[in-house]
Amino acid sequence: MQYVFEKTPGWPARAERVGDATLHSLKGIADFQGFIADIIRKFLSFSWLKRPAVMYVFIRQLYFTGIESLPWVLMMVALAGATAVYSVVPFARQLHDTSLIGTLVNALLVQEMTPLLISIFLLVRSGVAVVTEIGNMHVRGEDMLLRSMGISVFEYLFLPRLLAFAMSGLILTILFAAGSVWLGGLMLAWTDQMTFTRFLLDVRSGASLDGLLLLAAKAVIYPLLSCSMLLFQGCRARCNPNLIPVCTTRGVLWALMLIVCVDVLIAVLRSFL
Amino acid sequence: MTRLRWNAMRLLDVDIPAGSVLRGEMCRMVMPRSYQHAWLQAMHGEGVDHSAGGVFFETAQTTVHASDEMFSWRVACLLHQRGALANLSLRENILLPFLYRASREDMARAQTALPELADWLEISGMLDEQAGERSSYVHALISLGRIMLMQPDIIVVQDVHAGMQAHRLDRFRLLFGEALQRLGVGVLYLSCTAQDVMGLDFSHSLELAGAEDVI
Repeated sequence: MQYVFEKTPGWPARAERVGDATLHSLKGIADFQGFIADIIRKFLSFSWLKRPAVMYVFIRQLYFTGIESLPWVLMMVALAGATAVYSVVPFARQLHDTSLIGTLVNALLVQEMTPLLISIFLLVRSGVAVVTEIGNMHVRGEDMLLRSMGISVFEYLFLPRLLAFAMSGLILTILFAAGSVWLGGLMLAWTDQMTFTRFLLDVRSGASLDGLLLLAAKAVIYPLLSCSMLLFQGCRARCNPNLIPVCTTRGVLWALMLIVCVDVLIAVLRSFL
Repeated sequence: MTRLRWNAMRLLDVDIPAGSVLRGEMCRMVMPRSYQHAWLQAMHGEGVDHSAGGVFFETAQTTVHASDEMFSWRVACLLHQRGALANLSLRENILLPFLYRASREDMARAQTALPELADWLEISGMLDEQAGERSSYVHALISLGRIMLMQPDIIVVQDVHAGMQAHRLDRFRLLFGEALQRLGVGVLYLSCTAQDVMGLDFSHSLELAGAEDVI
């Protein structure tokens, strides 16, 4: 009894800490939902379409996120092509069923790996820049300057970045999927494991319209989610420059968690449908 | 009657009485920087219950609330050390409200007037440089250039003189005085100090929150 009495004073404090942490997390989730709702509202107003300033930011972001990423994506295409040769084909051969190559390349490389890889690549390359830039703008009070000019921060700062992420994600994913399949076929033909045409036919037989639509949806949704989280975290730096690296780390980690969670959710939903 | 009007409001821990600034009139509020920020936030409709009050721009015909896009065209701001976005050029910074608003006539007018304006402000040579980190003086010049193109009725100035070197301050005082004469606007000057550094003839001055005593 005495032992229990000695231990109890620590428990209320611990329970309070757990309670505080839970409330803090719930508030963060509610704030993020509000942030997403504001962005959707602004997007659906379509007023941003007729604003040249918003379009300029969009084009700049598209150049930075999409065009400047191309050399890196091409390098990854080569590596993913090699994966097709050195992972998928030996695996199908182990199962004594080479007709599985097309299905496996589609299911693993195209459907699963490509959108995830591109989203993580965008997150690491452009996402970090986005959260740092937004954080610095808040610290320098540039959001106040924009408001003083009647410029919506959501329209001018957030929407162009989100749209650029979504469009870059879609284009880079398609490029990556097509490039890695094509290069994989070439490498297989070069190593005399399978003819190029046979490989392409196998891959085509494993593809479906549903799968391609799902790929396109993932290619848009993952970058959108990660960019939203990064923008949200960038705003949290407020006037404290010391918070920028903290928000950047938090933004990248939460964006990664969001992508993985949605990927798992899609996989679970698909298994039921 | 064209004026900037605000209802009585609570700003951090002080009560601000209702008031107004008429076009052509110069008023001042002396308060620490944190209160100035709170005032500017309230002016742009952040954290303010619109039904309960707020800040308005009024003419004989219309009343425009601070959250309205038109408000920022009639009531322009000259903020301390916040005249430019770092990732835009000086030209883009000056033209930003026009690029955002998307009125072709206004944009054409602003683009035509910009070279002469830049000469007057002595920034012609650096119009296409990226703003990046700039001095208080350059921030103030960019804001002043923008205001000259926007031609508002009221200007809210936030401690724009603070941090300027003496010779820059003299030059800016001249430019600002000339701009006020050309535009004939009303001025609400938010200042940390009760000294009249800008040499403006304020019709009334309101001191709040212990002003200089608060760090």
